Amino acid sequence: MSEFGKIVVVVPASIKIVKTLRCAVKNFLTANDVKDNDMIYDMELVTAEALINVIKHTYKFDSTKLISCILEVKDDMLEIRIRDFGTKVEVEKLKPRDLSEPREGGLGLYLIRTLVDEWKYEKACNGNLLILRRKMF
Amino acid sequence: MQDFEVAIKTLNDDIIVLLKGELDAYHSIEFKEKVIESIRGDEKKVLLDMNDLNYIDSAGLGALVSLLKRTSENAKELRLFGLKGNVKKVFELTRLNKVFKIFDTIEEARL
Repeated sequence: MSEFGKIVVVVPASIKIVKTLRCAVKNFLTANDVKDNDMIYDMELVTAEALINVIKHTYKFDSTKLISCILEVKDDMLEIRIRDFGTKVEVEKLKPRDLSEPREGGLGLYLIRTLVDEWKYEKACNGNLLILRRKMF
Repeated sequence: MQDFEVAIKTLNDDIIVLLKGELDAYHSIEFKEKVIESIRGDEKKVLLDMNDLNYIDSAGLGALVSLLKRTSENAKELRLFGLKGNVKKVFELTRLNKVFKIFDTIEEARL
């Protein structure tokens, strides 16, 4: 495992900060020998979409709230853990978007599901924990 | 350097919108408002030059869908050209490549 096999970033729930986290994802993957620019783009996008969902839907743009993001390499898998401390997400109500009807919102979750190998919400005592995994190589 | 820049110009009867950088959640609202402001004239086509756009997220896509509706309501046609790499891939993944009129070059888009 690289000496940068895991990083933890805690950010305020602000749309402005999303770019900073995208840069952290890119740097983390590069430090872990990922040279595939498509993979880097996908994981930047997935992380950004997950953060934006928390900022919009869970925290309702309250930038005093915090989001924790853990990036970790586990056996050639990238694992991204997005933790918030807001209202519980009703996972059963998260339905895939119907792409046949173009509309302004709702593509974030679709992109997350499409671009990772595995996604799930794990039980958290307070708030939500979204876990995303994708093979790195 | 700014993450995202938009420049709007008129070329004969067309409006050309040049997008540069990253159209993300942070920039999408301002982008949409700027373009809507520019489409009040008599021009029939609004052409988005995507050659220098290197990142787009769902909010950016949402802004484009909103512009598509707004241009249609104003009897104008929205066309995109010059999509590249991962931006093109995101359009294909979301099947928005079937929703927008997309061309390779400005010459084709202006026909």
